[in-house]
Amino acid sequence: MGQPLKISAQQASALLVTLILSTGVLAAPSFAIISSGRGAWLSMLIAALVAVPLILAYSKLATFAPTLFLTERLILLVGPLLGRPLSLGFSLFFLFSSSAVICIGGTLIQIIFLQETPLEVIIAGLALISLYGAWLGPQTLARLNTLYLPFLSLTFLALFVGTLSNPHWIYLWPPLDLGLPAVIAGSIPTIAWICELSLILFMSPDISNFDTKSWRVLLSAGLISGGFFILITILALVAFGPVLAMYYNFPVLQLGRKFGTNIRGFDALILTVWVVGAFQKTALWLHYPIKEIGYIFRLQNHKALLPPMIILVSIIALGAPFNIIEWQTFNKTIWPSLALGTFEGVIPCGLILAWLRYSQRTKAGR
Amino acid sequence: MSAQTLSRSLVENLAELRTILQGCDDFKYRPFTTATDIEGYLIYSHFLVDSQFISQTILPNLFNLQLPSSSELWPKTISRQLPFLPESSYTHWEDILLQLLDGNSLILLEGLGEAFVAETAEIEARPIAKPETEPIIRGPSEAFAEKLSPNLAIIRSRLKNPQLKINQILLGQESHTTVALLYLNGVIQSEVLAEVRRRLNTIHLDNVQDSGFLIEFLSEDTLSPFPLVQSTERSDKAVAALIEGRAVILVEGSPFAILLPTIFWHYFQASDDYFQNYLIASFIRPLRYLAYLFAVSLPSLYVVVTVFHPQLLPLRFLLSLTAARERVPISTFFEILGMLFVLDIFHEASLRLPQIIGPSIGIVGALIMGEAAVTAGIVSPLVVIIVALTAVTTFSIPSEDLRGTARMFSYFLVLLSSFLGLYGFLLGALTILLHLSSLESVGVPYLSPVSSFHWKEWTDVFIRAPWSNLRKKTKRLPSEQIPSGRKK
Amino acid sequence: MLPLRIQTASFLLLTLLCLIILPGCWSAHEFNNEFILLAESIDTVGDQISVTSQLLSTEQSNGSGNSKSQNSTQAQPQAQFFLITGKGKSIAEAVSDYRSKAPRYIYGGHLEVLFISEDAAKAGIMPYLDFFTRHYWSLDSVWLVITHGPARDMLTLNNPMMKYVTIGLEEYVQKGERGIEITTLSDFLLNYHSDSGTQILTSSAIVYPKRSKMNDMEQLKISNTALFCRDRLISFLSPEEGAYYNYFVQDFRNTAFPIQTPPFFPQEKLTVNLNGKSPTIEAIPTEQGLTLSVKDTFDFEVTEDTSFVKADEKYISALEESVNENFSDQLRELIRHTQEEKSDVFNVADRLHTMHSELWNEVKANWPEEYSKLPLQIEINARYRHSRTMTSGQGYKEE
Repeated sequence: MGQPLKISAQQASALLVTLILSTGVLAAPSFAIISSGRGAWLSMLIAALVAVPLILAYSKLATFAPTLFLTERLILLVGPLLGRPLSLGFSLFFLFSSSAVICIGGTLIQIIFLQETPLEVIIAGLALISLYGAWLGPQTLARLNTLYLPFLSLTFLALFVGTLSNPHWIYLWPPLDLGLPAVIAGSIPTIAWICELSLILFMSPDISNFDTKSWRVLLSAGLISGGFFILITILALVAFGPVLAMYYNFPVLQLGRKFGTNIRGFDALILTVWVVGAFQKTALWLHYPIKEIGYIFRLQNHKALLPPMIILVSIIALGAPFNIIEWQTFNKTIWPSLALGTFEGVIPCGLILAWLRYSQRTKAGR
Repeated sequence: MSAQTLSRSLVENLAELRTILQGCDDFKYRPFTTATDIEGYLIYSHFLVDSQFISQTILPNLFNLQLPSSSELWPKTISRQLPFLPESSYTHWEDILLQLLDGNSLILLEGLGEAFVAETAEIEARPIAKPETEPIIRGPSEAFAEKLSPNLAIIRSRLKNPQLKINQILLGQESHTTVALLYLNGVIQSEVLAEVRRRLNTIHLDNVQDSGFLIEFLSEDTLSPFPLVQSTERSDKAVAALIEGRAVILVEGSPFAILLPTIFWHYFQASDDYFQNYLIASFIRPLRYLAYLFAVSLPSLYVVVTVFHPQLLPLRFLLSLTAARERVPISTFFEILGMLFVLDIFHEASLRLPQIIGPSIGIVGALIMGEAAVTAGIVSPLVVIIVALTAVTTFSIPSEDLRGTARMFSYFLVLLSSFLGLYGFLLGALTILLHLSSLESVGVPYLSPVSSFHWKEWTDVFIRAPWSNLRKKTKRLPSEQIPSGRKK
Repeated sequence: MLPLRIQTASFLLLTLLCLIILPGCWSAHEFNNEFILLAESIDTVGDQISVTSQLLSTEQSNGSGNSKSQNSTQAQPQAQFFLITGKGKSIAEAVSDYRSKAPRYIYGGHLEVLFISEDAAKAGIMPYLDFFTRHYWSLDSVWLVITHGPARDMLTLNNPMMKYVTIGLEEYVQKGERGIEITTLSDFLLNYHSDSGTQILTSSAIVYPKRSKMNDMEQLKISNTALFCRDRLISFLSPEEGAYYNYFVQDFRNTAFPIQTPPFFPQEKLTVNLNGKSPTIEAIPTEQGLTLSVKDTFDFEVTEDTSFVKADEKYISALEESVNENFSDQLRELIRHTQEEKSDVFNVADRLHTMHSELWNEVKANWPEEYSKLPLQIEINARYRHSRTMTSGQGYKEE
């Protein structure tokens, strides 16, 4: 119904924080703890710092021509022969990632909430709500997110206070207990997580007053997310210690479960935070790639692609032949390498070089 | 009508008028002759006019009318000699008929191709009374009535500002109902005003009997159950809306004014909040939000914790619940659904019954049926408590429009919760929240200013800040550009 | 939102309807259709595991069973629960066995306490606990109690003050002053995976009345005395050692403590109340190598008739010295016992790992042995802050 309004820079920053934290806050600590033990918090810190130059690269690529679609910007930088396939690949990458989120999310909900309900039903529910969110668009999601973020913050504040009633601070030291290579290896999945901020390349036309001075938008989202990751990793370590924590896929969820008879259902609260955040993530990862695909193929109404695409994504999520070991390996090694090796790391770095050449040409042309 | 305009011939004009008003026995045709022997007629509907004014003021003046020989000078002369007449005259039959049907009296003269209209309307109407749907403990008790003029008079007297503009239009092709658009010039955003005007002009109805008829046309094009325009019968609320930069629409024959644009938080603001201590108001307002949340979610949360996730309950509470459910033969879902249905039926019944019998329904429902159902073991006592709490919290929502949504969504959430537990509840709640987030009222986001980061405008949302803080707000509605595409 | 075409709206509505009809409420369980599991016991019977569940049904929680007891000749109240036992070679088999016997779904989300018999504990409890750890119900806060004798007997405790043993235990723990912290599954796992791998769990025993009279009831005596190395029970502490171990776990909370008084005191023994933080125990590097250092500072007050305690420096110093000595001696005994058992129950290892990781790397391979040989150094600083509301007792007379 007409041209949607743009979202403000603050709303965009908040949406990006939700994008990262929604799933990262439950899953990310375990990858770091498995690799680096007591130094997991250091891994998170390294991840946050290493992600900064990548974040600035995304910011530059998003703001040099912010009103253009990603495809148009890539065509400007690398030409139409490479630009269009790159844009298509980028879109498909996010769609594929959303199927992973839906699959993991559905499995988690089934394990914690609905043990006897078939996974297909749970995934169908998640898919439908994501479809609705993607249909309504980022403006609506941004408004909803403003209601969600205080809820997320309060939940984690309560978790923080609850965990600090009996903390074991000794488990935070020495951080290089398993060696520096282990700490660095532990930071890689988190870097990949934070670098999901690369979605900004799709989002920039929807953000009002988004120009080269808006690098703070992305940087603040990255630093807030990094800070959160460090905090929850510390919580997991002081509550469970490095050895026990590595056995939990979702140590933060487990934190909510150990509060005891006085405070029941805290894990349900954490999972609520997760479900609400995850659906926003999948909705954004559905909306923007579809919009871009619509632009690439010059579709009159790209929203018509949403229902069949969510069905396809759900089928992929259900049909992925992963057992528990493969899932762990996928989340810990395969996806971070794939993401950083392509659309979150290597390709944006290459595009920055292309941008440098482009801006030189533009200056020379003047 | 065979002719569009009046002719100079009195006979022709009368014939035309009698043809149009054939069968309308309430119209009287009083002949008169002026002092200079010019014949004329006074026509009016005797149901709608002040007969005393006609017989004691208008007719004697008409009989004493001194007109010059040149008919071109008659309009000026008449205006001078009959000061109770407005300066303008009418030449088109359409306008003349509207004036006649409004209770005014028509003056026709031989040789004059225009007619004069005297304001003689005196229609029996309900006087200004107390608001019935929005009672308060402390504050003014002036509610709008059906007549438009007194309603406009109240607003003018409360807002003595020349920037208060009142534009009147006629809506309803058959009913020709007068609709007044009020706004405070310089405060209301020009885009909002233009859009409201545009929407009013696109209304093509035959009959407009109440402001409620216009709501569908003034709301955004959506299937939403949430009200996107606000109705009120309180004059102080209407004035407050004008000062906030909103438009007010009053309809002849309706005691409810329409206020727009509106946001979700407006429905939790009661007039009481501004007439009492801000600390008390700030304490009570969050209770209303909690009441809405309870009204929507309490039955479904009961289903969630008893059927799907009893681990959320403390042990002792769980043991009490199991004891309470022991003899109940039906599932929790049907228990809750059945009780909610009975509650709604009682609510509807109490609305339709006369006031003398109405309260009895409450006694029948609460004491007899509730007690009997528990004693018979059909429902558990806790379900009766849950449903009663739901009812009480629903009725504590200040806005009737929003109460309907609470009732509707409670069913929706119960349905989803009974199939998928807490996950189903979350899916339902997210759907509702997404829907709310997507709504706009004349281009203003429905959840603003909370849904944007306009912190300073939160002073009248969850609490009622003291007047020193509220006065600092220059705009109560966020300045959003209405994109052209949003127009209907 | 775009206006929906009728076909699109119908399609979405149909999808929604399918979603609603499809689930079939698999995960829904009404209270009338389930039993509530309150407590479980694990015993070994030969080479099999016997798991007994204490279950509650809605009828019995309503007390409808009580009407039968009116005609009973026995004075004992009607049990508010019933027991089901399952047997199997593994915990999963045993649980599956008793579930198959129960006519209803068994809801275990409120399982509060797990009793494990001494024999089962000596063979290793991790196989049992692993089952509960992985369960989708949040069972991390389940209490673990090792029983002297058959664990099943705990579920049939004849004590009308404890309607359910679960609630009785809860009240006991919440009592505060003389209550103790009962180890939970979460605590067990944390210590199991710590560097020391040893810990003390709660143990329980039933004290039967000497004469079976109408109002005599069986008492449940619980204490933190079960010494575990990894997941095996190796021995028990004495009740006194258990009481001292509690100081390390839960601070001093007005803890009554008997001491031998100095020679010039009229009374031989005195009871004092201790208040303060737990003792700290750590392995510190000294010139002689690693030393086990225990330090504590706490306040005490005198509970009994204090007419003889003068507000006199000599008396107070002597009293404080007496408390220091007594407490040090008892602590020494406790720590020596743990050293004899080569069990670092205080988790000194983790602290050493944190503060002196190089030293830890040297000793970690053989830590139990190293721990048993550590010299002990105890510093206690007891302070007599007050004697309740009066500085000295009534009736004090100058000699």
